[in-house]
Amino acid sequence: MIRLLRFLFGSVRFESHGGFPERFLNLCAQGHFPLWEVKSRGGTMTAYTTVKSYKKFRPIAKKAGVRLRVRERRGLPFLARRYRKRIGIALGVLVFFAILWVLSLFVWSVEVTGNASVSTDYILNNLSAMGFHQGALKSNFDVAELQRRCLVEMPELSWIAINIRGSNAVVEVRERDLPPEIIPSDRPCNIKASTAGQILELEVYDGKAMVMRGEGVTEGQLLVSGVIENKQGENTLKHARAKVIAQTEHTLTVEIPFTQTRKAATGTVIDKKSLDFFGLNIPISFGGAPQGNYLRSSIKKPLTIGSFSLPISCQIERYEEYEETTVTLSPEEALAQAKEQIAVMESEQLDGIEIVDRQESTSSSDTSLTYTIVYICHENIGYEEEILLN
Amino acid sequence: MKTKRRRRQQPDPPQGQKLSVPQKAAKMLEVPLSAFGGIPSLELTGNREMTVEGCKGVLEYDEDVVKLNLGKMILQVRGRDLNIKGLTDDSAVLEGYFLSIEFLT
Repeated sequence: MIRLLRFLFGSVRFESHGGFPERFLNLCAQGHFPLWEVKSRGGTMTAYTTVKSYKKFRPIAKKAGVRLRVRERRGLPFLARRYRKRIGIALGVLVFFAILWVLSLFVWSVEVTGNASVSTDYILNNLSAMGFHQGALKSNFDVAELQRRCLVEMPELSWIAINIRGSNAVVEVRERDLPPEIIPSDRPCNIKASTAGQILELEVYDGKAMVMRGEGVTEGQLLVSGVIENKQGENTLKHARAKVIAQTEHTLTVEIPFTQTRKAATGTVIDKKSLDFFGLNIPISFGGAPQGNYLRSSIKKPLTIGSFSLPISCQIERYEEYEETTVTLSPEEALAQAKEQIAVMESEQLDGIEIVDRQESTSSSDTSLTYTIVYICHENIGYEEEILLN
Repeated sequence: MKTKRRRRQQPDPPQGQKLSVPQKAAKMLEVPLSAFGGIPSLELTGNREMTVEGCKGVLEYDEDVVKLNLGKMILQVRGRDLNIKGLTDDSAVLEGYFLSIEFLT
């Protein structure tokens, strides 16, 4: 630290001859002039002092009868003096800081944290639509205002914080658990059947049951009424609540044609590279998109320093040529494909429903195979429907 | 003659000499003398470096001998390649190979 200060302010190594060097030292100490590395060899004394002090040494030296001579000059003031005619150096330093300052005005990277079901791309696209993206000028945004707009634009988010640390923006979000659409309990409503089935269990918490256990119902049929009539024939409106478990039937069908066209890669790959600089796309490869059958995929590789990604990225657009070939499937292969597809459909459509039994059936024509599964399920079929008055 | 020599080398107050106020206070409170100001203190690091607090000035300076004014006494350091590493109005830092340290009154 002291060395740095001495370098910044400059120091002088001087020699003193003759007179009374001890008196000179004492006068320096009394005058609060700093001295260091004082050496006395054969009647000559050398020491270091600051530039500022050395300039005031003349009267002291005269008093002590010593003759002073500068031996070495060190530090920034002397360096600056030596290079004062080299404007380029000063200009270079200035330009360096100017570039640093200009670059610090931009957002270099945007990072999203805290999202689970809402995708990062969705948030980034929305932010981008509001003008907040990689390469955007930081001063253009009022962060508080931007956060408010984000919450309005993205109702999936319950909270958002945009923290700009230097040139790196970290967007922290909390997702909103969207409440199910529930009719407020003070509004009258009926319970109706969402699908046809046979009622197995009927638990009525509020309202009047219109069907019996074991009865078959059709879709949309009134199960529990919110209109209750008393002995005097007066009607009261209630918010009907009930659990209606019924045995239902769901049918899933898949049709697989025996002759299918498939895409087979020929092995020809064309890469088109471009440089993405602050959102500006600079193509490196020439020529447009190739003609013919090609599958296009895009890879973006940001330039990184450690874990920090720079706003410069290399974008590779890969065109892979493919050939369309016609394949004829055997009935076994078609069935296997059908089973795969139906498993996906089942997990999508019958999610959360208890499956009691399943009946599979296969039929095939000349051109295709039809695979059908009839599911027997137990599920709650009651849904609330508001009784609209007036 | 023997006692005279000892007295020259050790600056203890002779029998009957009054103690200074800080010295009295330190004795009464049973705390080290350094707790009170006004008394020069030395700090030695081996025989290579010495920090002298309460130095009033340099009386003699050479590569073999340094004499410092400590007010009531003179500190004489003999050695080889003696340097004054730093000097302010009330302290000095010496470095070199010290061979002897004497207090002259």
